[in-house]
Amino acid sequence: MKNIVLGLFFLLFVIIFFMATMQLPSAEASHKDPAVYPSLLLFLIAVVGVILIVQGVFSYKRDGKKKIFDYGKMKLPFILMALTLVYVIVMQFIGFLISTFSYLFLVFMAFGGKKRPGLWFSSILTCIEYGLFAWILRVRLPEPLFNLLGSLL
Amino acid sequence: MNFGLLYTEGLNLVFQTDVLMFLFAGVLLGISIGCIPGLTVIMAVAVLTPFTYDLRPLVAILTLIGIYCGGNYGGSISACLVNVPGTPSAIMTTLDGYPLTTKGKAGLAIGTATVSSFLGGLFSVFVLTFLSPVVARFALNFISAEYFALGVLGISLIAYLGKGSSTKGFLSGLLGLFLATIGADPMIGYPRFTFGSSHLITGLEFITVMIGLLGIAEILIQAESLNVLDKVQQTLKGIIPSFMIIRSLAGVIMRSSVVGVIIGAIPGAGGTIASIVAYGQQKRVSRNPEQMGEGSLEGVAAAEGANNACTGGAMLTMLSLGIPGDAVTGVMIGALMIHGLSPGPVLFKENFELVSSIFIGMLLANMLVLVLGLGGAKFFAKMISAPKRFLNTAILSLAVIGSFAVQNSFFDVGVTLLFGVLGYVMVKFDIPRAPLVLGLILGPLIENNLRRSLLLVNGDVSQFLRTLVTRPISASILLIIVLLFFYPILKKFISDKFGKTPENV
Amino acid sequence: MGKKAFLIVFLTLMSFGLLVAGGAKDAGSAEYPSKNIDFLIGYSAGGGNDLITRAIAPPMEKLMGVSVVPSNLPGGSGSIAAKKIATEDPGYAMGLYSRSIVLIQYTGYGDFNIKTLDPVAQLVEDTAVLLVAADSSYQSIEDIFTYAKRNPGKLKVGNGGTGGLWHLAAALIAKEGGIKIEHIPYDGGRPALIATAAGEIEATITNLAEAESLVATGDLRMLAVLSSKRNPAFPDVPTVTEQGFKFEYPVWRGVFTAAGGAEEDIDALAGYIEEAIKDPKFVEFVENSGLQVSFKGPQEFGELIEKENEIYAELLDELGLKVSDPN
Repeated sequence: MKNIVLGLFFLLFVIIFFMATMQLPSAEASHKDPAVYPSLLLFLIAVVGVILIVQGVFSYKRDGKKKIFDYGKMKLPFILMALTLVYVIVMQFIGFLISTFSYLFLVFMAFGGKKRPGLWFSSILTCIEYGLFAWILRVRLPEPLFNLLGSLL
Repeated sequence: MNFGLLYTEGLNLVFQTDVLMFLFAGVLLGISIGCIPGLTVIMAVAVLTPFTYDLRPLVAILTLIGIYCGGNYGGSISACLVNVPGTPSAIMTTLDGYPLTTKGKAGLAIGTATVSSFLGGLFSVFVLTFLSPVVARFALNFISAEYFALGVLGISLIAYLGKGSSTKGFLSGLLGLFLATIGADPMIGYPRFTFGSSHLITGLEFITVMIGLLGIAEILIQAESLNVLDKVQQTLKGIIPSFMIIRSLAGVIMRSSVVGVIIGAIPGAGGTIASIVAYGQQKRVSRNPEQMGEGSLEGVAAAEGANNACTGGAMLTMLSLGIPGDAVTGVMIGALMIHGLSPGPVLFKENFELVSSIFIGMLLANMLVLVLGLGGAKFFAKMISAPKRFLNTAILSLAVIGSFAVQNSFFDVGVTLLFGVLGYVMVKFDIPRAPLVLGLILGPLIENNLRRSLLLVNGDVSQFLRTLVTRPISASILLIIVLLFFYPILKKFISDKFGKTPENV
Repeated sequence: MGKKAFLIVFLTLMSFGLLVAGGAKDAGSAEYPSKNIDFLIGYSAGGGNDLITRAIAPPMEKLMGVSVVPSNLPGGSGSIAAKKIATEDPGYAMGLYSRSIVLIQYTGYGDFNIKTLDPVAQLVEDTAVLLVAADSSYQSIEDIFTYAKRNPGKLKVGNGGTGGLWHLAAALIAKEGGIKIEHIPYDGGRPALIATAAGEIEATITNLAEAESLVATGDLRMLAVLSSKRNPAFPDVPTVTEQGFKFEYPVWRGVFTAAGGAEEDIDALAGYIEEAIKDPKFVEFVENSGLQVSFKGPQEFGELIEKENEIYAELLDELGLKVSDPN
């Protein structure tokens, strides 16, 4: 079953991207044409997709239907990704420090950690990360869009 | 060149406090930066180059060499511990290094990586000494068709890498090759598959892809079955590989080092390709190929021996020809020239002492790698024994920030997250991820050189093929591809004929 | 107890963070310069622009009396830093760029417009050279042109990438010389040099600094420098002008800041730069790197940029390489 889904997915993938290649300017000589090489790859991917479907069909006939995903197990990974996504978005508005601290704390909790160690861990790690990236490596980390202290002064 | 003097002339220059101090600092720094994914050795060398202006040329160069050797090794640390290579050249190390860590043998993995790196680096310095002119000339003769052949060699090995279904491995590799086409077309500059975004003009940054595909995906997979008290207890014994182990790995390291030096000497080809070829080669000639990819020390040794041997090869081309063997030596040339020194035969003639010191310095750098690596291995092993809820949280956040730090781009972080999910899905569907990364890396090498070679013969495919087969270098590469393909079959044939199986000897 | 302690630590950290992150941004100032200057580098550490910026910053700091802080903001082929500079206070954030910043507007980074920046001053110039393999039969530009005229489209000239500096140099030469050549793109200037030495292509154009080492080892030969004056480091190499051709290809690097600044401030900044480039350490650095100090003030430099913006937009369009336009 898995293979059938996979195969179908990649056939779709090939179709979409092949349409994209049609928008590229074409050239007389094939080595100058930007679409030739990608199209070749897409073709090969399609071939593999078909092979996968065939394999999937055979195993279905042999073993019957099998579940693809155990959705229950996917809860925590899903939460982690959601948290991370929110973290990345929020960081651009309220800056590195606060968002990182909150993110670390929430993820730690999601992994089953307790509140107290979580708070310590998050603050220490945030400091370490800030020190490492902002000072030692001179990376310009996102700053808060609004300047709380500045507006107070 | 008077070999006798080569290692003695510069002795008194090297063994001075400030030189040694900076060399040490360089190696330490190199290892530290190398082991953080998102920070490459190139960045380390480049960031510190301005600081070296105020130093004497010898000190400056040796510091850079320290960073170079240290960095190449450092990438293997995170490769083993968290499945994300700290430098692209350590990608192959993840294949066996990480499984070892999951089995509690992180210390051994790092120890083996260290020793292999050391031996590989050492070997390359010796090659540097005796074969400089020969290898250098050879490196200069590489034309586009030959780079293409090299790329094909790399890709052909991918087919042997995947565990499990080779169809899926093939799919993964193709996907990687395809993803590599995203960006400005190399010949005409027209953006491909960028959907209008200017962020993708230079294509997918493969560090960001790797962090997501290999690092974040790993954490997501682990999160499926996480127990609050989870941690992987690491054995703190046996970190320094015993002499027996080293002896059994001698052949592997030897072979991989040769590959490393040769490929390192080729301008534009570096540790990544070297380790791919060495690993693939080892898998073909190994007596236990099934174990490679599951936590085999052979795999670690092959990958690390090759990528450190690369440093010697690249230095070779740099010193004798003034051509960088890879990006890092490119920065070094700049550093040399800032100090008024021009690499090349002139340097050997007029500044022999300096050259000699560089050789000695490289030997020392490799020894420092050994010492620091083995010393740190225990520490690293302990660190990775920390409970998952601390470890994975930290890794997750570092992945995000590290990905951002590469190009100051949130778009890149988005890419990382996307590939994190993709990697997770791939694991669920039993599609191996390593071929995708390799395809992504080797893609440009293959496509650009293929199209350029065709451009040079005005599209005459038969002429191109003829060149490929008749030029000695490309012919040899093709021969190697064929040999590697047939080797296991040959081995079996020979053993059947002569009645003994290698395992029972 | 623990909770209290923690709260204190947390609040301290956060306030510290906000302080640092917020930064004090002064309102408009009286005398220029009245606060520290951000010297942004749009490329990774170790590259040409990075090294030059870090070399000029200390002398400038000495002269201006405020901190001139270089920092890297790589990405988008330099456009990320450029866009950031354009949003900061004119005169207090600046960056060093070469012609490529004009070119990238049209080769895909249409979200950046050079007109959002004010050219302040040109600092240095690199020399573009035309190179052939040491054992090549071409002895002068004349030879190359003769061959190219007789065999249109056959001459293979390498460059560091389609739409890049050297590709355009070759295209300009071909255009003005009335010849047709085949441009062979490589992944950077150095691979093109190596290919020339290996005999894969017949010639290539790149900057002096990059070519030096291969010339020194005797693998490559410089046919001409693409300027009107001979290069002091290589006095034996003729210029294109001497050989009867008119195309110079000065490879300039200059400082830009956000547009809209007061003219006196920009002039003042240019004045400081003019003094700073005389600093002996900087001069030494420049010469060791194979560059030449070459100053142009805001007026002159501004006119140059305007001209180049037009010329190259047109050239890229002609070559079929114009894929974006910020205007």
